[in-house]
Amino acid sequence: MSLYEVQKLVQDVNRNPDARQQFLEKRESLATDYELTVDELTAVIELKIYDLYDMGVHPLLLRPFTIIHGISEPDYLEAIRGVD
Amino acid sequence: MPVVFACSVSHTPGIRAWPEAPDADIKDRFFSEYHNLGEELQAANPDAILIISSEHFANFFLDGMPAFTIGQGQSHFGPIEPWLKVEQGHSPGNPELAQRLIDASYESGFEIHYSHELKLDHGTMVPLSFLDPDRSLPVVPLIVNCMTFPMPLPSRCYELGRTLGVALEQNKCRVAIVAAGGLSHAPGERTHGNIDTDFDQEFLRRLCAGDGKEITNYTDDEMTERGLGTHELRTWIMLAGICPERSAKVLFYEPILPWATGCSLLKYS
Repeated sequence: MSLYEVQKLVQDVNRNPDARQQFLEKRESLATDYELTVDELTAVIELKIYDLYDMGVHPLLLRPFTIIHGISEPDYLEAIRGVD
Repeated sequence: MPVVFACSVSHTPGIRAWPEAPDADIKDRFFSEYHNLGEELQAANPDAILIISSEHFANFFLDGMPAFTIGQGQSHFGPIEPWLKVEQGHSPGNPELAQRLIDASYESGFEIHYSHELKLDHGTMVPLSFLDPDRSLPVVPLIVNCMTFPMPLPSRCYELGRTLGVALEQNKCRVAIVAAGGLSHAPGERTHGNIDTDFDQEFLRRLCAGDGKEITNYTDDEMTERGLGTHELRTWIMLAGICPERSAKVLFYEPILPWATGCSLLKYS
């Protein structure tokens, strides 16, 4: 597990305009710069919000990260609660 | 009487980002009380505002998370959130006051963190948008880690408040103090939207009772159970430590679901 690295990536996307642009254009190109497990890399690249929440990404990091990707509050809450 | 005004307020971002979400009656009452607090603060003619708020990954990350940080910059940029619907810009700082508070903290055994480059987020800018909308008054931000464990004990927040209160009373600078955060809320959590009205009312009762012991014995588990945002009560507890001799009066409390927060305004005599 490298939860710290996942959260570092999320914080960089949230706060660093260059990292954000890179991630929005091609997620893999930024994500591979971090020491992530295969599951973590998949969760980040595929925006598996439930998995990111479940692995412990802080809600105050995860919610802004999802806003950047245009995810509404109801959709975010459904995703973290595992509602299909 | 250097502390010329003191209040505790909620700062949830929805207050400015989506103000029309709650029922108009509740929102209008809340805004009216908030604006009244601003008028009272301005009438007190302070030289500076000390605003105690919480960290939200705006300035710090897990590579270094200080318990308490005082901003000693010449100015402070904010809000960092472009979606907050508060105009971005700079508030003047007050490095001399900040330095005095840092020195007083060290002299009392609080090795407080300090920074010349603190940025302001909704935690400070929502309150300032009501209390000093022109951003004319110098601001000294004091940021508390209320979001990642371990967090400072409520008793340490209260004791730091006592230290700052003594230093402020000995200072000739006329200071208005604002504590910002809470009450119960769970931002971004699976329990988002849960508001524990009984818990909030009991916290307000304890504050108004003026018993420092009673408000400092909350545990992390008690606050976490009401949502991570509830840990922001630490800012209110610190202010209670700054002015223990003053009586507190609740001006507003409502659980405002569209803002997912127990919202309150409280003023000290």
